[in-house]
Amino acid sequence: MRIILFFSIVLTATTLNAQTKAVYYVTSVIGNVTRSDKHALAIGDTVMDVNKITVYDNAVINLFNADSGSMQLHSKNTSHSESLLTELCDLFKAKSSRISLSSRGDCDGGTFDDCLKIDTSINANLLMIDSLLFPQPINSNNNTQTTSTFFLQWKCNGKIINKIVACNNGHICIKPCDLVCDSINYNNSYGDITLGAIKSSQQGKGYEKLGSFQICCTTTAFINQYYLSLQQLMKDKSAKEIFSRFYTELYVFYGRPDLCNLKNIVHYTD
Amino acid sequence: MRKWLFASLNAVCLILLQMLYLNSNWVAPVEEDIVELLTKIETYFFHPSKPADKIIFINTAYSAAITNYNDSENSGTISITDRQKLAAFFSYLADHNNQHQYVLCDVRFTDSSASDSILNSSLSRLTKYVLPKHIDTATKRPLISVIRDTQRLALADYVTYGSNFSKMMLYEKDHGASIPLRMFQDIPETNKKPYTFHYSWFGLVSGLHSIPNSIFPRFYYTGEDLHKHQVSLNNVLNMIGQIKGKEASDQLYNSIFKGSIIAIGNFNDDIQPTAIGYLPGTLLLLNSYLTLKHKYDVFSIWYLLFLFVCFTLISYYVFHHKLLQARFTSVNNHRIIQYCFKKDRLFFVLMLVSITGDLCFGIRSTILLLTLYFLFLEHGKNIFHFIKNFFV
Repeated sequence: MRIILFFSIVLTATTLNAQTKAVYYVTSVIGNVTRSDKHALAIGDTVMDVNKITVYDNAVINLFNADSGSMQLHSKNTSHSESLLTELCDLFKAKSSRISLSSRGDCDGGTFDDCLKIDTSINANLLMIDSLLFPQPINSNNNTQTTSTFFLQWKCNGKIINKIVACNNGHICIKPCDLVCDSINYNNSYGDITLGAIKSSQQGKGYEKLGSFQICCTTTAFINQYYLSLQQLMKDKSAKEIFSRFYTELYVFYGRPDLCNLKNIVHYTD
Repeated sequence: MRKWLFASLNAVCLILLQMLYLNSNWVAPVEEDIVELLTKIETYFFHPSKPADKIIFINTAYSAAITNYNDSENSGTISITDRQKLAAFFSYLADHNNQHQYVLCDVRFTDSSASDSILNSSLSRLTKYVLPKHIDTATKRPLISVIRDTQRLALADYVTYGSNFSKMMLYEKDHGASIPLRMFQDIPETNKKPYTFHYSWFGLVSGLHSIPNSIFPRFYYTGEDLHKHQVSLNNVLNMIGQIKGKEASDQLYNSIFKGSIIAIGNFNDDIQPTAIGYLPGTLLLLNSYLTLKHKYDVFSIWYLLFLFVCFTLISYYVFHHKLLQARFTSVNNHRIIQYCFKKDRLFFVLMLVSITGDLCFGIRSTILLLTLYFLFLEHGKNIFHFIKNFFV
């Protein structure tokens, strides 16, 4: 304990001593800067103790030390009492700051758009703006005895969800209702989806991977919230203009929205 | 006899100093590291057992709304928590006869919005809840809140001297109780009367019950727990909205909200640095309340007696140079014991006192400051001895 105490005192003393005894060369002076004996400092002068120089209002001095490099002083950081007090406060951590433990609802991003987050925990209402259609692959074996059932495998926040998807008129269709994740911890708006086929024939069953892709999901609640916010932000604009901007924004974020679906969600009529 | 009397007087002074230190929200820089280490060990290795209370975490991070913002320098729009949604949720709780245990709504209500009247109207029907109050650092006055019932507001600020959250101030003379203290007073223990704490220089007193004014919270709930159990406000409202019929609605309410503590806050953006990483402010308030509830950091007569005995013994040995070293090293020749008593005997003994105090009475004593104090006593004596030899 004594050793620790001794070393901490020695370390503090050495640091303070080193700071005061370093030699600084004046590289530039703007305004009135004097030594403790009131002699004005000029370019080329040497300063042994930076705490003993006075920088008057609006004056700036640049100092150079071979070990520590350049430093700039202005009237604010040469006030002796303030710097000593600050040092003591820092040493004993006696300077307190009051921090709020509540959130007003804003966020680091600053703008309102940054604060609007996709609520990915609402999986019952997970919304894919449009249905996805994929052409049904042509059976390479030309074996009419083989039947294919298509499925999707969705990696939803660590969980793997398998779902049989419909195939109509030569198209595999992924509908919004196919993408429901029951994990409340789902926090990724981009879902990795693998589309595959289960091939059944007289020889048995086989699996074939058709491809994988990513989709961007959102929720109806988010869409509603976003629309309401746009309405508030664009008070002076007409409903048509607001909806048009809304449609464009969603297009940018999530791809082409289904216009009819979107109008139903936000209850917009032309 | 006189020697013992002197030692016991020193022990009483030390206990008083200890109580003063425990009452202040200042944490000595050397102590902060030790407390952080203790907290980490306790949280990750001993895993404080979860309280029996049912706690629901509701995240408002996804429920943003917009409001106009105006002050002397800036004006424009600002993002706030959607108060209409909060009002809808509070109304739902009130409609079910307020059968919840408590609502801790850690959402800041300092900016006015168009939904304030709806919120106030729903709050007028809600019981057993607390909302945050904040102090303006410049004027030292509470920030104006849009909430009409100011009796329901309690402090939700913490004062730090470093960069991390370590101590929670329970009461401020000028601004009243903090949220954890308010919850501790409002939620009565089974078969016990609710506490009503009064401020005094040595702590907060309610009858024979006394607690220090600032506590080191134990982390019953960590970020990982929150990640597993939180549910968004939107989700809750959607769930409520989808339930049709009174019977189904009651069933949902009884299974989730009845008898539970509901912690509402922004768990994504309102995060503070702590010993175990960044945690949402709501969690810090809740953990502080649970620490109080589990009788940690409570002054008991046994704790004071324990301190008195320990400090008297240590003072006696320090004052009279009969240090523990000689006795222990003669009894036990083990090298480690010899080393501890030879090199850092005071530190070692005080650490034992501190650990015993923490394990048996739940109060983290300040071993390092006490060690410095005893060192000063020892060192001081040597200095006098040195001066005497030099001059006489």
